[in-house]
Amino acid sequence: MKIEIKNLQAKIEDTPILNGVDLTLNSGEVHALMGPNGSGKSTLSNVMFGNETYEVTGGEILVDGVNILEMEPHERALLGLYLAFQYPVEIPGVSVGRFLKRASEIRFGNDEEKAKTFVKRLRESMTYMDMEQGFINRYLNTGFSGGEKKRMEILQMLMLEPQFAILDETDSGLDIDALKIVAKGVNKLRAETNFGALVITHYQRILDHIKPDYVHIMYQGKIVTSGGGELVEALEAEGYDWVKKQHSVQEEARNE
Amino acid sequence: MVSKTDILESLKKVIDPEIGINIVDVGLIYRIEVNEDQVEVDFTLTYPGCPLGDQITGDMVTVIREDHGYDNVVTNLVWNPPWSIEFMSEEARLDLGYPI
Repeated sequence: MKIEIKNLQAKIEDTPILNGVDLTLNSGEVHALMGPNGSGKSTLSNVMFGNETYEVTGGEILVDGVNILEMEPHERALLGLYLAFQYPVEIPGVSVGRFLKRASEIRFGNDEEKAKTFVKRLRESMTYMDMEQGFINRYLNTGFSGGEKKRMEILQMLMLEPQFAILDETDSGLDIDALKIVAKGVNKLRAETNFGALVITHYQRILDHIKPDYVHIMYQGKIVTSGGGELVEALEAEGYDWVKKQHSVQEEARNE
Repeated sequence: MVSKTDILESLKKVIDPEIGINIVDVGLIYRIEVNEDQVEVDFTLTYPGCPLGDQITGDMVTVIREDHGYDNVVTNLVWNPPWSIEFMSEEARLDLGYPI
């Protein structure tokens, strides 16, 4: 899967948040998206999945050449896109097992093998994610701790095997053990399938465990710098100040 | 020679109309015996007095005849042990919202 984000602009109410994002993402690649608070990272993930709170005012998002901006969120998911929510929603009345089974049936259609082995795969994935089997019968995310909700997002991802996933600050609020388990889940798909991911994060910590192929830094609604893993180290050492400085220098040069 | 598994596969085409899931996954099939010229099936229903016995019997006879060519299919409706939710496959229980 190839995702091309071209000059994407979006606003919430009257506030512009994305000011021309250009980004190309492919299955098989792991990208990290970093940037200070309010730079537009989560807005980008919300717009990619069609959250109606945001209004797209320009640009396009092509998935294998097809513009997805007019598609409903579930249609985007059916293409093989996946979003691990920053704040997973509690759904009382729907058990984890039932939810994942139905989602899996829709994702894999008439794949009988997948249907027959569903419970076996679910149990294996839960063991892999260090989750108690009893979660199968609990209502989705209801009463889960923050860490359990995040783990649930990754479990769902393992079951649905997306071609490209966005992890929207999945690492926030996780202790180091939970973080390692989340990373383990991502790395499993990465090793076993043609899987790509955009890992949105504030912290370098998760990137010690999910090694990104590419790193992008977002500032004021734009990607201002892209590079490899070394960017993460630069950020760690110097913070975002140099990005801001560099960016404002660029802006000044443009305005002159 | 047709195996019990073959018969079981065929019986998965028979849907319990009340539940909407095939009778194998619901756990209604208790015993299958395959002989040269005859297939014998012990089955139950989810509760005594369930009015679907005749329909399910008819469907079983039909699929076994169509899939494997047996004209002589014997079905025995049995009530021991009484059916319970644990007899359902885990997949079926999830579909219906029961714990597994």
